[in-house]
Amino acid sequence: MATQQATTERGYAGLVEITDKTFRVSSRVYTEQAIFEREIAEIFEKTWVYVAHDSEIAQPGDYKTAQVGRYPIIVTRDKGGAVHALLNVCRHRANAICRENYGNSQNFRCPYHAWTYRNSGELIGVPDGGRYPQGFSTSGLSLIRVAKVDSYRGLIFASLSADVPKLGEHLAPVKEHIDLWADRSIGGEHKVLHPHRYAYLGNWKFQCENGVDGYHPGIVHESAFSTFGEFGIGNFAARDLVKRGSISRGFPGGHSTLEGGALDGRGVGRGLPHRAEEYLAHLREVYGDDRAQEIVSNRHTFIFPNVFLFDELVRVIQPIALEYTEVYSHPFWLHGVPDDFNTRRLYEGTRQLSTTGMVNPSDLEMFAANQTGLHSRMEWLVLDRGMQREEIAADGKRVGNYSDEAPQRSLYRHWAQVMARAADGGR
Amino acid sequence: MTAPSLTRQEAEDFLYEEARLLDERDFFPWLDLFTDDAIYWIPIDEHADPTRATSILWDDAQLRALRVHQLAHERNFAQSPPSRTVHSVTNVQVSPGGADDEANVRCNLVVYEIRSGDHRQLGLGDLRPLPAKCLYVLRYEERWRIAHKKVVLINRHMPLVNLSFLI
Repeated sequence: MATQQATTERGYAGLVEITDKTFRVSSRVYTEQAIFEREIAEIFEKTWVYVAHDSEIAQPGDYKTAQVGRYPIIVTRDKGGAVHALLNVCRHRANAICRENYGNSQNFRCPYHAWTYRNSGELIGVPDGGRYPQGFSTSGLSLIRVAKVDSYRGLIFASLSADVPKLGEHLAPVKEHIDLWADRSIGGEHKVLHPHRYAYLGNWKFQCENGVDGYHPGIVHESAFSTFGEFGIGNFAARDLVKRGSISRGFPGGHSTLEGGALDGRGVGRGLPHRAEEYLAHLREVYGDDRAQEIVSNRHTFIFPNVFLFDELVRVIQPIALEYTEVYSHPFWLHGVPDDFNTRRLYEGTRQLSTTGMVNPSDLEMFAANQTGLHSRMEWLVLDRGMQREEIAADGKRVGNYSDEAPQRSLYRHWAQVMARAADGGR
Repeated sequence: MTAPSLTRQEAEDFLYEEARLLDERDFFPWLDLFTDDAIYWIPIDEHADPTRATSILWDDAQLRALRVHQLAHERNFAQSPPSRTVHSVTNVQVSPGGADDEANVRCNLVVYEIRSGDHRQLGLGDLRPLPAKCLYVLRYEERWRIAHKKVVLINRHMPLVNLSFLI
């Protein structure tokens, strides 16, 4: 096939073409099955991906199942409190041993032949074990461990490959923004709730791009914002979106942020002004004025490749197929703030970002329309916006206007690096 | 106010009328079916406290009004083209309410929904059934009104899609 050949000749890096004034991404990154499979193998099955939040498995015995690339896994907390990331695969005949999404259990019993494992992975029971040949040992048949698991500020990441930088190194470019998000809880960690799950007919990268795209909201969400405006809810209209203090950032490693700027009734205080003042006063006591202000500012933080930290929720992206993506949208509870403040945050997230919400369904519609258009194989997508005006720091961080495409460029710079590394066999 | 007792036939008439209003996109009269303090809730965990758990929808009077207002907006892209729906109500059962002027009504609901437009495009042209159990609290305020509506979708734990129409 001509397209396959072109990919091979020019390499995966050639799918992203950068000059000093242009940044173009090939439509093939959204439409070629071979590229999707390589993304799964090289990004999702070989680098750090977000799998859970500490608070989802808070108690000993708690577990959550997840999928890393195509691998079914279980994230567990053992009786000593240690977190394990294990393949959800029986060592006997490879049956998935756990069929629930969340639960609490000290052991996992395979439903097929009842091989039984402790929640830390050890095989502790094989029915009618005497039928196995002499010398048969269960000690080498523990559940297979995901090569790396580590956490930062309650966010648990896993890597199926051991050949990755330390988690701290992976997160370093965006660490400051993870801290600002986590510091919204006072004297404790966020409590992440079970998700509202949704799906769309489009490539997984649309959701990565869109959550930090400040160019679209005033257009795609006009009907929501004008309705909020007419009812006197929130105080931002389309025309106010590009304003002083509202910026986008792209980081090395594919991470990015979209920041709505200073406190103006948005951010965590959105929708509850009197409580926002109370909360802000509390934050000022703990962190000082400037940092408190930073902490409450509206901010979307994207951690490559699959998780967003939003004001009201954590959004996890799960690629399923080339043109089908699932998203798990977890509201979270702030620690150390009044319950009614958290409830209002919960309702705010539902009102806007649920599948019934006034904002999110229009985004899903754009993803399906985007994927539809890409069937034309129109060759290049244009991600030049703000290129000549963005600030570039020595560490590679780029800062643009709210509506610039700095975040999307950062995603594809890193994407091309990872994909090209794989193609070169240079691992 | 002492309410007349609600018969099953009256409950059915009430629910059929709500279904008709929704299917004919006659949304402002639909808003009037609710009491001022009514909550309309689509839970994920139907036994959870909605002030502390993830929901698919949680609407008070203002949010219902916002939603209907947005549905009428010309640039509501989630509804462009708009949904066509059939709300099919069955298995209606009436039981005494928690107050003298209230009655509980349980029914099954299947909403069939489709957005046609250029149906060949992704996201359009799929006929989607949404089966659910519905629990209503009706309150008598000169006529029967909805004081609480809870729709428990059987696929509430599954990845859902654009639900920007009214269920």
